[in-house]
Amino acid sequence: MQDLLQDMVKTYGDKIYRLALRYTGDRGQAEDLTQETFLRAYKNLNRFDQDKDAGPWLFKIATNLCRNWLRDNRETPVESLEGFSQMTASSPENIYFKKESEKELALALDSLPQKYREVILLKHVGEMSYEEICKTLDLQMSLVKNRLYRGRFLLRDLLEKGNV
Amino acid sequence: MIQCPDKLTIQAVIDGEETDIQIIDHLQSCPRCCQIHSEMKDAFTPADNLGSTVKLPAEFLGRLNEKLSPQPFPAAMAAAVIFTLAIFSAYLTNPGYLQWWLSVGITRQISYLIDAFIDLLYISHIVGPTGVIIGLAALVALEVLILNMLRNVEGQINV
Repeated sequence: MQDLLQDMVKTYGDKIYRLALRYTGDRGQAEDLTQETFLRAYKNLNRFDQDKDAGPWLFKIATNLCRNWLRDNRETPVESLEGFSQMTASSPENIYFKKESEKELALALDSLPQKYREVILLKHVGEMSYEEICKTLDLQMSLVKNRLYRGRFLLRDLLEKGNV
Repeated sequence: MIQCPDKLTIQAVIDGEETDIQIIDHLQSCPRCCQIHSEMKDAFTPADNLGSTVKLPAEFLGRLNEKLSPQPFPAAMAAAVIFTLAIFSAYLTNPGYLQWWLSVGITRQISYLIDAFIDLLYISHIVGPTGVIIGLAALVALEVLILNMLRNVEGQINV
C-alpha cells in the first residue's frame, strides 16, 4: 500500500505542493498541507478505486485542505512568497521586477472569488484537463469552462487596473 | 466553411482540449476569429504565469514514510504497564510505607493527591486482589483506547 502512495507522491507531489504554495504563499505551510493530503489519502486508500486516475481524488483532498487553511488563515502572507522567487541568475533590477510582478499576481489571485480561483489553480498549477477539474470539484463541464474563461479575464483585469 | 466557434470553444483550442481540425483551420483562416483567438491568448497570460517549477523538498518522501511507519511500542503503554506493576507490588507491601515513600520531597498539593491514592489502596484491600486487578485492567484499557484515538493520522476526507 505504501508503494502505491509513493507512486502517487512521485506523480502528483510537486503539483499538489505548488497548488498549496499558491494558496498559502509559504513553503513550510505548503509542505504541511501536501503531507496532510497524502496522509489522508493513505488512510482512505481502501476507499479509492485503483483502476481510476488518482489525480482528481488527490486534488480533491488537497483543495479541501487548502479551503480549510484559507478559512482559518484569512490573510495570505503575500510578502513571504519566497516559493516563487526561484529566479535564474539575473540582474538586481530583473530580480526586483520579477518579485514585484509575482507579488501583484499573488494579490490579484487572492482578490479573485474562490470559485474562479479554484478552477484557475487546478488548470494552471495542477496542470489538469477540463475533465479532471470536473471530477475534482464535482462540477459540470460547462461550468468549468465558464469559470475558467471568466476567471482568466478577471485576473487579467485585476492586474491591469491594479485593483488588488 | 464552418460557422465561427463560440468563445468557450476558442478557449478549448488554446487549452489543447479542442482538437477538431476544422475548427483549428477556421481559427487560422477567419480574420475575426483569428483576432479573438489572439486577444484571448494574451488575456490568459497572467494565468499562465501562475505555473512554476518549484519542487517538493527532497526529504519530503522520507518524512512522509516516517509518519506512516508503524509506531514502536507506545511509550505511554509502557508507562501504563510499569504503573500497573508498581501499584500491584505496592499493594503487596504495607500501604503506610508507600505513603511515606511517596511523600518525601513532594509538595503538599501533590501529597493530597497521594493521600487520595492511598485511600484508594485501602479500599482495594477491602475489595480484594481480584477487584484491584479488574479495576486496573479497565483503567489501562481506557488509556489505550484514548491513546489510539489520539494517533497522528486524524480526520476524514472532507468532501
